[in-house]
Amino acid sequence: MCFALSLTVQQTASAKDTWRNSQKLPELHHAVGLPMADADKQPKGWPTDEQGRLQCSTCHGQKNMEDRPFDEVDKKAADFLRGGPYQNLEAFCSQCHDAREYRRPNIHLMLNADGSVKKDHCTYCHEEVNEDRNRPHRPEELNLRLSAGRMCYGCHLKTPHLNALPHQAKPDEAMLKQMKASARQQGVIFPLDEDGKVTCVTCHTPHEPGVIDPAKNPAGRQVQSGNVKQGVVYLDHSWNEVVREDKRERLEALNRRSGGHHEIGYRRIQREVLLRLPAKDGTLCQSCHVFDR
Amino acid sequence: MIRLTVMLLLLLTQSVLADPPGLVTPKGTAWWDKREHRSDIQFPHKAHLSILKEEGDSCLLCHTFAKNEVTDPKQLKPLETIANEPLKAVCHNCHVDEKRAPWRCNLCHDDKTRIWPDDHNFNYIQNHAEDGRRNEQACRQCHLDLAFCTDCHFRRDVAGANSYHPLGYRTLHGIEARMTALSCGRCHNAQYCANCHEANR
Repeated sequence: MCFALSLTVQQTASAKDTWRNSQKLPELHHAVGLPMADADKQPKGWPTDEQGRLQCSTCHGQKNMEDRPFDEVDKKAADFLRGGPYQNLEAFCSQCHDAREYRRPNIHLMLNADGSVKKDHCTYCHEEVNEDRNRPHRPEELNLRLSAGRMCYGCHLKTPHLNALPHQAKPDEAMLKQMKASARQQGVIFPLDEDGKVTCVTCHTPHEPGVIDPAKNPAGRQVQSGNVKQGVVYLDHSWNEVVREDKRERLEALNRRSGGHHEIGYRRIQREVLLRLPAKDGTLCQSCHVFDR
Repeated sequence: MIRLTVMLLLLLTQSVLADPPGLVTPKGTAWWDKREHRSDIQFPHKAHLSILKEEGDSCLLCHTFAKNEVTDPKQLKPLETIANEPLKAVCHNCHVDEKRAPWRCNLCHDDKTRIWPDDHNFNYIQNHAEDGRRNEQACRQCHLDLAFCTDCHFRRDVAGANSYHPLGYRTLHGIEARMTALSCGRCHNAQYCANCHEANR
């Protein structure tokens, strides 16, 4: 959810300031002293001042927040944000703001009901709509707004799933050779970023099936088992208990050290989407990774 | 200066004692942190590919690509190390607990002395009976094949060239006992010898 518009432009406070004595706020803080917008709802027990304006206690549960120096505020306290603690900050924001109004479109859903392409979704990443999609293109012909290695980070994190970060590396010569052979054999492409590193689009395709004809352009070849709107579908599996037992002791140690609540289990993939080759049977992995024994 | 040298020597001695030669993992350090340096555990990836596929799993069973919310690479690294390294529970599920996969210990543990319990020294064969009676399951965590027990306990020699003790062995056993006493000790304790040798004195 993007609430950047509501962020204050007031001068930033220093760590020792309080709201009352400085009337300044920490960086990237929500506006204070303004009335709530008509479209927003005020949850019960979240008080505004007598003129209906936002104050510290509207969002924060701790008492006398306006008199506390900013560096003395316990941001880990459960009631630092009212109703907290929140795993996902959006859940807090949507107490007042309508989450639907701020939801990002899934631009990977690229086809209208009649099968035509949603052209406005193309131009999130491309400078112009490519009507000649079924012809293989050189990278410079794609007119990307950002390089292939950075494009996805406009919306997605660099670490969206485990093992994403370690994969963002330059394959050695043997692996490159393997990737080229696999691409030829499977009729797909494995694009690398401008530095020759593996990136999101090496394994994932951003285009929904039906946008590029895989028979004419290997960039269109992808898994067909799922649908983009539904996303990846998992099945619970008995291996979950085994994997959890396997990780239990080490995760407990890590959680004690880091204060985190990490869990690792196992769910079997039933349907997958936007992948150039299936990962659920290892085909994708084995396009790069080969083993002698 | 002398004091400093002595302290340095003491420190060096301690570190050598804490990390005996041949053991890559220093005492007190979780071994998975040092896994990449270990030579005594092996996982033949290629051998597992077909069975994983057959069972409907893939590389993702051990190398999870599950959704992640940790963005700090420093925090993420230890989490991914744990995520990527299956240990005993995963391997043993097929190879030991369910015995669906080959269940010879040396299939993965090429140096059995590293997985031996501390009390399994030379004399343990003389003392194993009590442990076995008290907690047989503990023995069977590693000794999956009952033949390991019955090879000695139910052994009855048969005549012929392939028998353990060939015909006339009683006459010749003294020579072999002197040559390879360890072999005798695998089945016989000292009392077994004494029963005859002491009685004949």
